[in-house]
Amino acid sequence: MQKEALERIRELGLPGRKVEDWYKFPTANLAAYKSLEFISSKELPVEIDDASNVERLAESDLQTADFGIEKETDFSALLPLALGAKSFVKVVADGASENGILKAHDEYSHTVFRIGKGAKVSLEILENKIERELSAERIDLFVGEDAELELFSTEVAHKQELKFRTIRVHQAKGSKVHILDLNRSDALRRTSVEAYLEGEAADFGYRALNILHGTSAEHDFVRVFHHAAQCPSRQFIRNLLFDASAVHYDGGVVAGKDCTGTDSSELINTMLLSDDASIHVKPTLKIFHDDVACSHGNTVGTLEKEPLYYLQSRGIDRKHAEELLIVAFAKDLIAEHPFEPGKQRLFKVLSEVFTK
Amino acid sequence: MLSIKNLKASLLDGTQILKGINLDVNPGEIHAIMGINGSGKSTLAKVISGHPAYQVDEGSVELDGKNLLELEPNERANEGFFASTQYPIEIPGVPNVEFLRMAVDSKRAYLKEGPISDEEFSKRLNEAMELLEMDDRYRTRGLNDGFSGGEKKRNEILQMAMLLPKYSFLDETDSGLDIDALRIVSNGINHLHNQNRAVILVTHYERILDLVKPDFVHVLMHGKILMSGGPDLALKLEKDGYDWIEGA
Repeated sequence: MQKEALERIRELGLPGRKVEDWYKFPTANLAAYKSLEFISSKELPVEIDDASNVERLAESDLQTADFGIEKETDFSALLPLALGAKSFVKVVADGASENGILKAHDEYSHTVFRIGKGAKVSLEILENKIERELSAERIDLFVGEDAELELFSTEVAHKQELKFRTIRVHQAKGSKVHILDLNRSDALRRTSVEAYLEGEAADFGYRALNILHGTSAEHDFVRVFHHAAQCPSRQFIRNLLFDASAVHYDGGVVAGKDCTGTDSSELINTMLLSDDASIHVKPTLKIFHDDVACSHGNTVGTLEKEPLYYLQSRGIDRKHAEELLIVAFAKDLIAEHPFEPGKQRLFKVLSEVFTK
Repeated sequence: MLSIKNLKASLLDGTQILKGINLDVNPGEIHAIMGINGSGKSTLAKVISGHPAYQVDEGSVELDGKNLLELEPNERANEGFFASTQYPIEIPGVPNVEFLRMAVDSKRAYLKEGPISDEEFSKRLNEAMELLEMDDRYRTRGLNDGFSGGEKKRNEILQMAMLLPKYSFLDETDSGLDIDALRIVSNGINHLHNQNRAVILVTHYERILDLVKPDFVHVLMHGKILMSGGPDLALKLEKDGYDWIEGA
């Protein structure tokens, strides 16, 4: 798989700003990363050790998975594979119920989850180790009929220059997948999420709360492909941007030809808490069917004077009044997540962030 | 004493609303301020409490000798000035009880007291909610979030009950209340008023003054208090309107 990924990534080369999906990303800086020099050379990024690679995974499961490497166009989806990430495959049996954590032992990681029919899984993504200048992780999720999966993370604030996270979701009939992300990273991060709703009434949600400081930046590239009827999907992003931080959200929905009853929405709310913070939003809807409901919305604002005054007029000082309003803004997003473990975890982390 | 001297204040665009207000309120007194729409009644409360949409041009507001106009809005509140607004704002995501607790503890911190204990807070909150006939839904809902007009006014009095301010400026607390709600809110105000706590009641209607008996009634017009009197003045205004004031 590494060889295939290597061939493909060399074929594509480093992404540039002329590539539409990357045009807001500071691609010019990528060439400076030693870890990425392999793309333009004939050398391998790390030694390929096929034996150890195979040892760690359920080979039969991996081989039946179609990762679409030869047609892949997303650099960040190929990167961990090309860098030699060892694939970890986890199979959850039909009807099983599991709560777990996902922690890779390398900055380059590839995780595959096959979730059986009717299974219920809650997964928290923990931080990879951070010894290298960049990290690249890829998570492939194959979710069976009527299975439920929540995936959540509370990325902590620490220094790592560059992060790539790719999540690919394939959903069968009646399945439900909801991702919840609290991002406080100090890095430049690109999150690429693609969800393929392949069975009727598959339900997908992606909710992200970015609380960014300094010069940190989040680049989200999200695509939801409705390939079956009666599928709801929700993209809901809230950004609290301090200092010179930035978020670029490129969110798309594709409603295919046979997807009657599609109900998709994209909502991005941003609070700019500094004159230097910035937000860029690019919603895309591609609709190939008449009987669908697709909406998108985007709001940008700052802390409003009237609520601040009201709280202060009850004796609460400005700092705490601001915090109350910021937390309230953030809580709305978390409250909408339909699974309790992720919701409670993020509420807890959020209260810790703002009581320091 | 709350002492307002020659208070002149404008909107940030320079439009002057208050054109020289003079008013003294002693502890334990109840004052009613009446007047036509746009006369400056709401502005007076906002200016004293430090609303950012207004600037003070001249004059002073002293609370027990301290110039409130030099203080931040939260400091004015913690000194003992409470302004209930005509249209309380909704703040979803800030649970009502969490907000009340923070407000109470902010005042205690300002007065160099420790945070209120769980037991004391619960006891006071329960008593106040019982007084105002509020049910448990008010605890967990966001601050005024989805409240009806009457519920918001009741919630304002709940805040007053928890903060126990020395001077409460209640701006049209009676507007939008049905008969039962008016009774409950008036009962709450009377319960909270005592010889140490004064109330300034802004109203268009005499009916609340049947329930909350004022010691003084003032007529505010064109940014100034043009006339002051006793409770009879409210009855005369109810009967004759305001036209006669300017010629008086």
